[in-house]
Amino acid sequence: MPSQVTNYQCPSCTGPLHFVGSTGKLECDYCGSSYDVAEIEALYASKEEQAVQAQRETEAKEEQAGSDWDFSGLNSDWGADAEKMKSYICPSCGAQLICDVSTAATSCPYCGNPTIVPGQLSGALKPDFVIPFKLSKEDAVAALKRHYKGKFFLPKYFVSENHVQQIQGVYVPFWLFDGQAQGEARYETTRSRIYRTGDYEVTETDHFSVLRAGWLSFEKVPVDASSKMPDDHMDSIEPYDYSELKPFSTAYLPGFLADKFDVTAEQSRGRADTRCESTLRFALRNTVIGYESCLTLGERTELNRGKVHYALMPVWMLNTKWQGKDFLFAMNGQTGKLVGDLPMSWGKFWATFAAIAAPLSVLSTVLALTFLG
Amino acid sequence: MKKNLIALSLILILALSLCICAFAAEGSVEMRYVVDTYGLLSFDQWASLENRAANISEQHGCGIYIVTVDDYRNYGDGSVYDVTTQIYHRSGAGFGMGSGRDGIMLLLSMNNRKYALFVYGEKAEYAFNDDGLEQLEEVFLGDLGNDNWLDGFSGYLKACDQFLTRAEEGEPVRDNPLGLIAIAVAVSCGIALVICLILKSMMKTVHRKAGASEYVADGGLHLTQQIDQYTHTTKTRRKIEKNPGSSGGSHSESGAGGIGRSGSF
Repeated sequence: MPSQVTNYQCPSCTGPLHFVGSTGKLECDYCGSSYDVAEIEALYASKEEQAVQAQRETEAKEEQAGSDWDFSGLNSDWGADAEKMKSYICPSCGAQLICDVSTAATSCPYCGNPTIVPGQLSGALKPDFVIPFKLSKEDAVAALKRHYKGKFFLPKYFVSENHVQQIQGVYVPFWLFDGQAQGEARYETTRSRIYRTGDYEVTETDHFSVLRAGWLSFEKVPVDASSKMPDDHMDSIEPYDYSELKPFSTAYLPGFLADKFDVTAEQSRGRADTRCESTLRFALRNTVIGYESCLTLGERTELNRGKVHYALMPVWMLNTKWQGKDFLFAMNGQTGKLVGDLPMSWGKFWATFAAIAAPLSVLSTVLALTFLG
Repeated sequence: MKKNLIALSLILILALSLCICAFAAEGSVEMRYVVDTYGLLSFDQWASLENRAANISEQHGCGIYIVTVDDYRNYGDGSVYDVTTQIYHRSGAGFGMGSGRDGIMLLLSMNNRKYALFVYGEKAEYAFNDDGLEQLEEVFLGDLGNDNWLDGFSGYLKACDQFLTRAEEGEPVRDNPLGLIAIAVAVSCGIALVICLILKSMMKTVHRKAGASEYVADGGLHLTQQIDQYTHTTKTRRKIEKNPGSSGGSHSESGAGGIGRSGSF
């Protein structure tokens, strides 16, 4: 079941080409040449055509020659694993790679060449858009160091003892939902005034019945389509700048891992629906102003679902390990927003509590006894 | 002239009271500490209180007095506190014990339901300072407000005995600062906890998103209906509690060489 594998090689020296986010070009590590994406795409389109032709000729020759080898002893039955795995051959060094079926692009572990598997991204699985990586691995490491700063309760030795186990640039598949949410909400609101009459304080409260109805349009609400990616991490690194969305091209992928979706648009749309509906409810509630209290009596929302887009978004995933526990950080490869929960030092927490509470207690006691005692 | 008349009236009333005692059937008790000119107490009640007041006063060397009158304004000038000090210092009345004339006097003016406490002398002021007087009046004001005269006076005498005993033991009744300290510490701990929780929240940056406001297009919310309809009005009334400092309650006083409190009951 090997598939055709292609990588982008430098037309000058045949070294591997990497997509560099900062320049938006494919660059050669060996001779330093750089090429536009369109230029390489055109070059490889003609190369692929030639390769297909050559493949056909080879197959025709093999058919004519026949085969003397007995392959009957080999077992080609992968059982249940066959559904989950796929193997590829690195075009640079010839190594056979076995990958998860949802893995679309990776690096060859033998020669390090960035390898692309066009078969995984073709046809119905082809993304509509891609946002290219703008930030490098070094940016991700620097962002992680910045993330540690100012975290008062970070354990003393966490920064020095924890080591980044893996940093991987991943194009994460996302479904982008267009649509419109419309609905209405009813509220009971009040407005009060207080006045004094004789020995009594009178509170007069006017009650109102409030209705709001309206609609909101949404464009490209993202929901990550990879079950391997934690949803809350992917939510937390939003938003992406959609002005930099590009039509999909495999030329942006070399050097990064790219997953294909394994959560369908139908499975994902519930999350998009919930987010759109809650945004509409919040927006309607925000128009009820000028009252002292507002009680929601009922809400009704409807969704007009629009187009669904499939896009790959750039994410740097960083794994660290400390005291046997894994910590996962994710950085938006376009904006640099980095998230990841950090371990807590409860000793520091209570020491800080005591350091604030003790002098404050003394001060407030002295002040209280002086002015109130 | 007016003062002289008033002084004369008081002396006459006191003298009359003493005579009443002297010629009472049970006339073995001399009225020195409980001067009930208004007649709130029966003879037995008065005699019992008089004996207790005399015993406590002699035991501690500090006079404990109760005086009831119809209207304090008939006995002097100024406020109820001023009149109480004037009665205490009236020459010939004999209030106060020892060379320092130590004593404490509770005066009730029944027509206008006002009262005053007056403390005189170094020893008495040590036992009944401002904080002590505030606690002392809490003992009897409730009963007096409910016209439970015997309970009120009895509580007053008992509390005076305790205050003087504690003063002799070197631990006079003072305001307990523990409540204030507890509040100050609790507030400080609350502030420290809030600061720590804010710092703790910075450790967690991963959150699932609930909204999609970043992806709203076409200029945001388009309202198609907006109705604000008045339905009805409700009214609630709350009686305003009178400020204890201005009327009805009590407050600290000083003057005439002593300290005290006055107010209404």
